[in-house]
Amino acid sequence: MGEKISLFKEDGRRTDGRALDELRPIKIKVGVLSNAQGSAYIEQGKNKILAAVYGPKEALPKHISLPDRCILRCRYHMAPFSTPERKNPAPSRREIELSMILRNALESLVMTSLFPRTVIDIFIEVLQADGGTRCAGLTAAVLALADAGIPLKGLAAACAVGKAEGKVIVDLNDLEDKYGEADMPIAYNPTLDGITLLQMDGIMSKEEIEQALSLAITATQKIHKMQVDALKERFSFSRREV
Amino acid sequence: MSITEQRPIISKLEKQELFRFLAEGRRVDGRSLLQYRNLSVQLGYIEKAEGSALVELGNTKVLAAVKVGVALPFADTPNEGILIVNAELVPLASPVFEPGPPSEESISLARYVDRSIRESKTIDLSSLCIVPGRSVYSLYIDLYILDYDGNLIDASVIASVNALSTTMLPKYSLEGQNIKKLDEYFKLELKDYPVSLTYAFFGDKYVVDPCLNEEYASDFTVSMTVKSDDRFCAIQKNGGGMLSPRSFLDLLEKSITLGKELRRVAYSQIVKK
Amino acid sequence: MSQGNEQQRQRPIVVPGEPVGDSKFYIPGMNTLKISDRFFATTVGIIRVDGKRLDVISLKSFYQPRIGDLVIGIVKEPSIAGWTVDINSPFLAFLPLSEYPEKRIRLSRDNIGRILESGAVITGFIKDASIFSSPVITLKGKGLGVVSSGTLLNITASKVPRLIGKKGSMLSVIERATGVRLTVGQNGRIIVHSEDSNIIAKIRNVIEMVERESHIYGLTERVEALLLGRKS
Repeated sequence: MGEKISLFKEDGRRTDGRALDELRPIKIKVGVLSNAQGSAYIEQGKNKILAAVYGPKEALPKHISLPDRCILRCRYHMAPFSTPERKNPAPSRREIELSMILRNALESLVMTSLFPRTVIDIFIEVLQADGGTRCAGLTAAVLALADAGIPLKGLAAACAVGKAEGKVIVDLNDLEDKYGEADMPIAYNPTLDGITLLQMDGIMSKEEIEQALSLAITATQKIHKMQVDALKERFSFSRREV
Repeated sequence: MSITEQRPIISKLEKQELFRFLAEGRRVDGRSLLQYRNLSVQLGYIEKAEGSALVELGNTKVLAAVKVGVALPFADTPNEGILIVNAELVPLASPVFEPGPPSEESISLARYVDRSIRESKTIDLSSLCIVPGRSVYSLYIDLYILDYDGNLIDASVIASVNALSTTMLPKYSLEGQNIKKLDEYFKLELKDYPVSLTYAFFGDKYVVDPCLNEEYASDFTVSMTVKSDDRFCAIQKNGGGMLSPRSFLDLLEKSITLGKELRRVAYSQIVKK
Repeated sequence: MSQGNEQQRQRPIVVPGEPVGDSKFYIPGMNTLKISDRFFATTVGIIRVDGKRLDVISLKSFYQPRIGDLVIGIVKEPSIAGWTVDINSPFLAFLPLSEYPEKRIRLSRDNIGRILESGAVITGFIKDASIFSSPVITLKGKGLGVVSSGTLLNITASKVPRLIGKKGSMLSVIERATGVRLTVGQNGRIIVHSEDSNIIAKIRNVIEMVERESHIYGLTERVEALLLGRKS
């Protein structure tokens, strides 16, 4: 308390040396778990997140099923050791909200009418959290769905944008998330030019949001390209292995 | 786990009618696309609560009550009071509300209202400190949804801000190590008057303040909270579907204009002119 | 075989949302999404053009039953009217009593459990399938019925056509080279009619190769080479 935390260095760069519109280093791998139909792993900064997909399978008990489309079940969860203070493993209100927000975002991508009466389970497990976990988790979950062979309208990549000390920035880290003025997670599908996830908290003017949105679209397009590469990597085969 | 919600089936004819009206730029209940339903606010409805307000937005009824207590501050904010928002989707309000632990819908509603009030700094939490690091005021806002006809978010933000504006806090005196409640009260001062605006999307068309049928028939909704200075303090898209960036920018513009109007009506009894 | 760059001989992989063609030249087929005039892939796969029809063949998918498919099922639970059967698909299939080949079955619950017990492996045809009801299996037909010996293997359902090959070419290569008969279910289950561990190991390798390399040209030749222990 009292001491002021500075989010920028003297040279104008961010605490981790990044430019305002620069993403953290991202590593994506698809098909990392043996039991899941589809899975993906992402590292974004110090975030380490696993996503797994099971299904589609018969929706049971029957009353949860829908006659004209498949339903999605989604769990976003943070491991107890993912944060500096041990997190109680029971789902927090935040995790319950994010599970819903993520399910909504994925629901807009899955071609649900192809599999009526079934359910697809999506698990997002945050092993280490470093700000922007819902976005990185979504980026991975979309890949896990594609890896499972579930028809999608397209991929979506997610990234938070926000504001710190009056400047609009991309891909907030933990510190910027905590001490910055605003945080706006966005997931974007470039095929259909659609935002599938949108939240904002903190204070921004209309002009700042406009600027942040355009930065978010550029950033998610970059992540989208990494998603495509990771998926193709997973399914391409090089004779060198034999 | 979050599960795809079961929406009641709306008849094809009702849906067709709704879309027919939308194509003509009208709504089934006679409103224009960007028109709110009638709004009424009754202040101080619950006398046993330190602050309260009953809001009716069309048929949607939300009761907000503020209970005040004294608590230990959070370790990272030893000089700040505590604000907690909770929402109850009371079973008598709708056949889709069920008794039991809070649903994701009620949690998400409470968290959105919390963000709208906290981020806009509607209350100055640092003014709610009694003894730094030891005793601070705690404000619990309990939202009671009594009748559900869509757009709980906007009605809940209006109800909460109105309830806060009527809140009287007891004064405390310090006696040695202990604090003592006095029989004197002071009024909680509001620093901002945020309003939330919720839009329901049907393809590329949208309406503000959706009633329940519109909510059920829509692809998704977007809520945004605007402060008195026209800046935004909370945004959330709820439901599947995709929002085009162009529509998003449109909403920002519309929300500033509509927000001014809504603020005037919603807080007419509490904003001093 | 040519010593050309492997990358070039690989059919290009497309991913969901990737543009694959437009309505000027094609009509959209399997696993495609049409938005105004353009088609996009909806699954990870490779493009196949058949006349004007453009399909994306999934590199990984689950089995969706179609009427007439030969499937290999595992009996899950006997009930009064028949058996529920796991066919490696989102839905359990149902084998009604009336589709069991033996004419005279006394209708008593114990009996049904004894005729086909939980875990029994069957080969059957899909008699009825829609997305609105459980698929129905029949065991009435030549070569259908209970499988009591052999080895059960798995493959991604979308790769089954590659394992069978054009007019059964790949399958006959495998059968000829190993001297063993295979029953391949459309649902991604395979029965090898042998319990010889050397042969099974060989066939496992072949299946792995098909899983991995189905989108690379010259698969049949490589499978043959693998089975005959030749260098390709």
